[in-house]
Amino acid sequence: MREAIRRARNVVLRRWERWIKKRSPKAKSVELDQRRIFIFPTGYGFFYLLTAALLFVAGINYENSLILNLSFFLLSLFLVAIFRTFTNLSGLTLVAGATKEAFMGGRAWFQVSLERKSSRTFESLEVIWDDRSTGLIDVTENSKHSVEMTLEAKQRGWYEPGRLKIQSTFPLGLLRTWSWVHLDMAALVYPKPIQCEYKDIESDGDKGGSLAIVTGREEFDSLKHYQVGDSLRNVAWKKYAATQIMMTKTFYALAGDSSWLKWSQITAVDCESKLSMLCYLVVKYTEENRVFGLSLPSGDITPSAGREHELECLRKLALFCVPEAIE
Amino acid sequence: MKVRAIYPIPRNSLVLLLVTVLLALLPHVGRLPVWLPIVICLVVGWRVQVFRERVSFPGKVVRLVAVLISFGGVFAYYGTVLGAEAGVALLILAYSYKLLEMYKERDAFLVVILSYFVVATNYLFDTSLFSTLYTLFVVVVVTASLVGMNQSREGSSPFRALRVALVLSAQSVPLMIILFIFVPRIAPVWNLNVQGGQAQTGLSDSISPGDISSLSRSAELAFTVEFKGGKPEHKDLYWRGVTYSDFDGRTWRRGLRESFNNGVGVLSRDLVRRGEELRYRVIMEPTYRRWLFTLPFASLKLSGVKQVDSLVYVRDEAVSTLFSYDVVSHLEYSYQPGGLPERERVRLTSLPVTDPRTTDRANELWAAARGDVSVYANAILKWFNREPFVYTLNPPELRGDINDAFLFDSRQGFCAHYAGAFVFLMRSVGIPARVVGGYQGGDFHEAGYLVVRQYHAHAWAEIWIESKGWVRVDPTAAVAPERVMSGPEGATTDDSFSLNSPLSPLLFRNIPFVRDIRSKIEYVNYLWSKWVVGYSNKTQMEFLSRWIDGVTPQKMVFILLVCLGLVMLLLAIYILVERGRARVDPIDALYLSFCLKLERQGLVREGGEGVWTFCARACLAFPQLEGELKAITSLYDAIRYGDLSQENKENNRSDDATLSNLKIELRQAVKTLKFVR
Repeated sequence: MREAIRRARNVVLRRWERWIKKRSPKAKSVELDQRRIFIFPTGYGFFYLLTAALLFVAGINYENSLILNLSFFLLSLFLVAIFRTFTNLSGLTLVAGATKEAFMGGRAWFQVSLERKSSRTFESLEVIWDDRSTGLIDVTENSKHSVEMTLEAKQRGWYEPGRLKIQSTFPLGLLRTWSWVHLDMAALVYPKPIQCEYKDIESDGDKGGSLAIVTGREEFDSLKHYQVGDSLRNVAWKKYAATQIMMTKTFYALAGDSSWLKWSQITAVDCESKLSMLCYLVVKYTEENRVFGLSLPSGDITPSAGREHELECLRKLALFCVPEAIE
Repeated sequence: MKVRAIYPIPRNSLVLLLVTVLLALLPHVGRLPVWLPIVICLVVGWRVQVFRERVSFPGKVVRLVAVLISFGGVFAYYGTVLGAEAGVALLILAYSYKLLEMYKERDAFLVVILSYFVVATNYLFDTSLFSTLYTLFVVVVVTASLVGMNQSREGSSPFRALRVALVLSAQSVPLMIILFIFVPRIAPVWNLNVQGGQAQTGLSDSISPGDISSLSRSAELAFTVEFKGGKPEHKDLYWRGVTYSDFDGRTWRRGLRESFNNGVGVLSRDLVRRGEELRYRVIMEPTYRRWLFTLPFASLKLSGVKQVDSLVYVRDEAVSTLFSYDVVSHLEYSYQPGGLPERERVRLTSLPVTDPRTTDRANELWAAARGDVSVYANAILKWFNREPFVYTLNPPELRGDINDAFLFDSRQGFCAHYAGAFVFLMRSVGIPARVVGGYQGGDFHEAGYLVVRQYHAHAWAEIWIESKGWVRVDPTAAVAPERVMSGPEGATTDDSFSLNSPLSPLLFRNIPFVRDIRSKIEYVNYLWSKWVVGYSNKTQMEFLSRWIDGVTPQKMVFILLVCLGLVMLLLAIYILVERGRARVDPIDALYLSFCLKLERQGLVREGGEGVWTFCARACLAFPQLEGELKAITSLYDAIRYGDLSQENKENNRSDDATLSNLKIELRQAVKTLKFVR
């Protein structure tokens, strides 16, 4: 019996999923229109209508035109509120914004921009994504309002949080209008780092030979904007003279000879654990400013160091055995 | 003590709610026991202090005690907890106490809903135009507090909420009017009798000197009359309402043993109607009494209304709302000329053994008249007229035998004194007579209808004469003929008459401007009463049949739906389309026109393509225009995203000036951009 209910529920859910997919397909930018917007009275709305009905009966029984009129007013207000509530979503455009990657189990950061293209304003909107709500937002003064949300990264690879729900009960709270929007955006989710021991494999001649760097030497990595606290010794003064912009040179120290993090050297029960361990090592080695290469069955990354190199490795780990269709 | 999670009703929403509560209660204040408004103020004050975090919400015990004491107070004041007035008082109490329990959004919503009910109950007592306009304003504020509850933290402002509510309400009005006009009025599903104990106005069940005195000074509306066709003369305007036939020595009472006739049997035998018929409609203000006012002899066919043998009409239920009825009257008629039933004759000639001097005088005059009733009646009127009888609204109190005291000592009185004494004198010699209470006269308004006010209240006598039937005699006319010819203000120079009410129509009646305005206001009130407050099933039929042939409920519903649909469509167009007009920034518009120019040359800017990327593509496509294309793009870039401080330093100008300069440059550049192939 329970099984049957579950199966029926699944069928309904799947049907609904298919229907909503057709109605509101995935896109980078979605303008809400009557195809996507739903509207229905809230509990308060039904209570309000009951009040109007009670006043109507009272007006009839007391033969009082003015009480009747009040009930007509309440009904009219409700009807007008239908339009007004609907227009509080209709015409709003949701645009997929930036994302920030995360380790699995952590929180990935998503940004969605709510934009208006006309004089129409939108008040008291609520964005609900993965059961997290933003609270009430207005898109009135500016033509854009960015919503930022951190959502739990549930799977390795490209994580798509799925449909978000945007809803509003403005102006009277008697009706709720909402829309399911599937924005085409995804954040990269790295494997969850798992601490492990790793016996370094020194680079052999044919792979890391080109990188013979003397221990302790600092190597120039990149330029970043100057921030208070940065050492003045590291400011790129030449650049400053040319552009008037303060930049700080960053360096990485090469702690020693390059090592290789090898898939085959990790002993773990399954593929995910192996990835997690490699992930931990990549982070650890970068922290220690070491030169390392990454070798996976899907390919190798030549030894290097620094932030960029770390990101490249993590990306490789994140997308290991993940269909890249989304990218 | 348990800490209760308090829903932080936003500041503005709470302010609006409290204002709403005070505004909604204001019109009720006069009708409530004095202590109740004080309780309301205390409760609102408490809630404000809770909001300011000076005190906490009252505990359960405090609330319970407060509710019980107030409940007892209402019971002690009204003697009941049922009935309209006590019910409204209880509703108002519950409504105010709810404020002390308002923690969550749900409670706030309940207060809003209760506000609508409190506004609605006001209509049970006051249906004037002014009060209705006021309540509409209250409803807008109630709606505003609903809006306030749904505003975001940053966007919340009571004035914005009010503006939104005002716009919503204004948009609802057309729909409301259509619903009001076309929703078929159904007969009451069950009968409710709104009978306010204190609300009774107008004539009473009994009449003893002093009663009508207070009435005479009130300029309150009693009823308005719309004549269809001819209008009667002022002297014929005797609006009969109650007949008083039992006298106990001090007070004339309505006959308790009055029998009803079915309105047909009596007429054919006892009634002769002559002359032209007079058709009119009476629109009566609530009196909370059962009788209706008509000119004699009236035919009135209405379910729930019965005719008494003395030819007055009594309704089964009290008139508790504006009530209108159509009447056909024959001013010339004779009733029961053939004779009275014996029981009636006995009843209408019976008197207590009082007033010896009056009885003596009656016998004296009766002997002089030699049995001729007309001569006898005229002799009495002549007596009233010749002797120094005074018509006054402030007669002295009468002690002992009131007729003796009045006729031989004070000789000051108003209509009830004269009518009562006259009937007493008649009955003393065995002539059937009765006192009739009602209204005399009325003011014709320019628009053609007659306004009858409380100060038109009057009492007169009717005597029965063999072969003539019932004849009306107005003894007051013998003393103060002006009272009958031109209304009560002509009959007395008594100042107290008009000064009682600051808005009395008698005040400033000699200033044409004031009179003019007053008459306009009255006209509006009349139309309001007739077409809005009095918009019943009958009025609705009458109104709709002006345009539609054969009004049926089905037709009405059909028209209702069509009109509703049309207005909804217009509203939809207005709200959905009008408010959504595209708004393009002028700078963007310039840039877009630049893009359009390139598009005509076959170069389309991709969605989301950066301006510089697009510029680079354009430069590749039109290398000869590279300078112009880059200039336009950099101008746009500078206006949109640029830091102007550098240029400001150079030109020694403010941001705005630089910006407008750049705008002009951009416009020029876009304008002069030409493609040569």
